[in-house]
Amino acid sequence: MTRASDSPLAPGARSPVIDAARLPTYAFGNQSLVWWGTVGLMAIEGMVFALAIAVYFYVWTRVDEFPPRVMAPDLVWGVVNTAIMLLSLLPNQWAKSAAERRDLRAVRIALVICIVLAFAFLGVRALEFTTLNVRWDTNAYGSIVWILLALHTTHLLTDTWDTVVLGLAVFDDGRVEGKRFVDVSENAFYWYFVVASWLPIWFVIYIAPRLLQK
Amino acid sequence: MWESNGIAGSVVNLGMKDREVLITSVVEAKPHHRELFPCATTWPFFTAIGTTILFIASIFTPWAVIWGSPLVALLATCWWWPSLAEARRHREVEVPSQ
Repeated sequence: MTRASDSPLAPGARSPVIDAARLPTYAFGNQSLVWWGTVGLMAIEGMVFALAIAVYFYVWTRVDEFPPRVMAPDLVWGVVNTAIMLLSLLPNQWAKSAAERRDLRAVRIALVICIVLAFAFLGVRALEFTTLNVRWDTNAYGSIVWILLALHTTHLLTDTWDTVVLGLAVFDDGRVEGKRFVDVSENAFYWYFVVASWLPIWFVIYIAPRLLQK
Repeated sequence: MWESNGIAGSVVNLGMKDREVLITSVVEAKPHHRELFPCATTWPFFTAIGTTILFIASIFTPWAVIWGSPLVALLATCWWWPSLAEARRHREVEVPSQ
């Protein structure tokens, strides 16, 4: 039951009347609709990653030689990209906390740093594709390795695009409103997912062929 | 907002110019904030058209995914891109989050 002490009732109201004009017009975290949408997206995409990883290990069970007649992917660019992605968590967290403080200047600076790092790991990702030591059409192993890396690259591309568009919007004073800060916060939340999902994929692409060598 | 025999009281002062939705807590339905929704736009329709073209073309060539994705991304961006008038109206009625 809603009581006068814990809800924004109109003063002097006899029955519970909620004066919506006194309620905030946006919220952060799990009180935001955007947060729930982002969590739903993560659940769907996380399941797609899990299925792709399951396919990788299925291929491993079906071959006598692993990786099948090819070398394991070179480690260098995968390690470099993992380091850049982990580093990107710092400005990302800064953008998130600045947005929740509604500190527009800090949000702008943090987003620019995030965008620079995003382009850095997209560039390194292109190099990763060149050092997988297998083509997508060489065999089933090659196909699933390319699918895993391409799936994650799709997330990098979309989140980079999101961040660029959001950055353009927050640099235009006329388009800044409370909801933009929620967008920045949720964009950072999604970025955590992109980085967190990379760690098991990195392990599967680069470490598993060495550990599971047949 | 819940009473044992139904919804108690009423909600007043939701916006008339733009769509607003009352957001409550899950269990107690305690009013938390009012979400300001974007104004009506035709961009979702065009985004749907773009996505349909991408999927149909991808039946005939996988390259349609490559060339169609930027088109869909552009249309979705136009859908999301905040208009100056709408942002101004939202700022006029904005109450900061606690």
